[in-house]
Amino acid sequence: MALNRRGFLGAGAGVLAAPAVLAEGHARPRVLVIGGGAGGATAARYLARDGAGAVAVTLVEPSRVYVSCFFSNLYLGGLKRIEEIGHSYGGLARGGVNVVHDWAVAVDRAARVVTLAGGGELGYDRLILSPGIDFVEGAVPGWSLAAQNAMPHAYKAGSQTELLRAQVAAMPQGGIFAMVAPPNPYRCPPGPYERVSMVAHVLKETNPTAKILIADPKPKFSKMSLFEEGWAEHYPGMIDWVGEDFGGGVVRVDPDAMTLSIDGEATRVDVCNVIPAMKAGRIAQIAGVTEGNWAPVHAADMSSRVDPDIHVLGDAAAQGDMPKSGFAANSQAKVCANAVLAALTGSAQFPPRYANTCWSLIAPQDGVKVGATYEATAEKIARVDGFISQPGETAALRRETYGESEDWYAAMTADMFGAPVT
Amino acid sequence: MAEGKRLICGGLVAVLCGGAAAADALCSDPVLPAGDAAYGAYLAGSCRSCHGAGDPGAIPAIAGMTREDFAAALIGYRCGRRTHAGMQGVARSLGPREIAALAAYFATGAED
Repeated sequence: MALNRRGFLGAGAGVLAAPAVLAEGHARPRVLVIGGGAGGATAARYLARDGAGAVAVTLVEPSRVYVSCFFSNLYLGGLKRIEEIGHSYGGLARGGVNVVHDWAVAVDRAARVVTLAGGGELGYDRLILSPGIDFVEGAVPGWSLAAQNAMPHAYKAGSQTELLRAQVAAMPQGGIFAMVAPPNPYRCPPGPYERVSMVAHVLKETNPTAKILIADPKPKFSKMSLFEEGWAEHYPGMIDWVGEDFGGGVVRVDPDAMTLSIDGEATRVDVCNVIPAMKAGRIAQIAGVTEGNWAPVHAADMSSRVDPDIHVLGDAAAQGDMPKSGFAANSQAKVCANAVLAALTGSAQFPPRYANTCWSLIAPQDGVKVGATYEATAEKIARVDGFISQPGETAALRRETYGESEDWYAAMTADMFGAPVT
Repeated sequence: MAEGKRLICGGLVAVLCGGAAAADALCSDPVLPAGDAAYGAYLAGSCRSCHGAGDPGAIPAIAGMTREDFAAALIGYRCGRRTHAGMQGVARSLGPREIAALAAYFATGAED
């Protein structure tokens, strides 16, 4: 690909029209994107829009409606309706993306063909995998896919999230909401603790004698001092966090008896939100681009370290210092789309740029955030410069921070899906 | 506007352009190179993650900003005259060429 890959053109050089390099035997180069979340939807949209028809873009995504994991905790807290966090793929289809609702089940890297569960096959010149996460089998003893109705994970948003909300609403007065928190690394580092905050908000209003019990295999967690301060202020005495030091990582669940055992001591609970250890979405493993649980990539363009024709975005990628967040996946997708277009059409390739911000809501209007900018090195995406909300901030600043998250959600989902079809 | 015109090169005050202003110099002597709008179009992808087309709320809309206002805002964050932790980090990650490119791109009206 060296002949058709153009380096970054310096300012003043302008962008020269380069002849499209057509994939052999095909009218247009084909980019196949698997997974329609923050990474895949963004990549597909930018490829179709910036490519202006020069590449054929196909997105394979099983869900007809994307329910965002980000803001799903606000739905659990009663602050959003499920419809407000659901997004159609119609805008992408209108924008020129060939949207195929199916599961990718096999990747023939030599032939560059992906097989779908429905029986179809799709060839590609570049393959972009953005499959999100799957759970590590056996990570929480006693829990399996068969138990996810009794003990939902609600960490892939949709019916699981609705189920968890219904279970919280059905808790008896003074009941116990339990969470088994995941080990690092996992999707959305502050997510479990924002969830606890939102469940606590609901319980404070409807079930004030209820308790929340968190079993956590980690010694500390994202924004810990901010959450602990907020919990003490908004939900005093309600939340009991059991970390690594007190056996929080030595757990077992019994979905039939509805018990959670922490370090051998069993507790009968009313809701048990089990968030198991995570790994890259299974298609990344099937494609053979994972090492361990994740798929290592080059920081320059998110290309796989195993196969230069494959890129991996978002949660599934092992890229370095960025957290596994929707914001990060969206950021990575734009770098990847620019690089893929440059490789396939000869358009200008610009230097990679990465940024992330994660907002969390501790109570209504009490928002906090953490974020950073990053640079690509030969080794990894490396953190350059960061910021985090501070304990003791004014209520006005926290309201402003929450307002930012609302604006970000609207901007981010528009960036992923384009304007909705009305 | 006198200061604003000094900020931006290419088209407006081309005589100031062409020199690669050192990053530190932006705060005391904000001279920018000519802006490459195509590069700016790529860089603007980072802005779109947060800055949408809706009504200005906590995060202001940036589509339609003039080159002068856009560059002055980013340089203000970079040099600490505007305070917002996230935007200050963003502005520090952008060199003179990037700020000029973004300002040139947003001035095209493509995001309006």
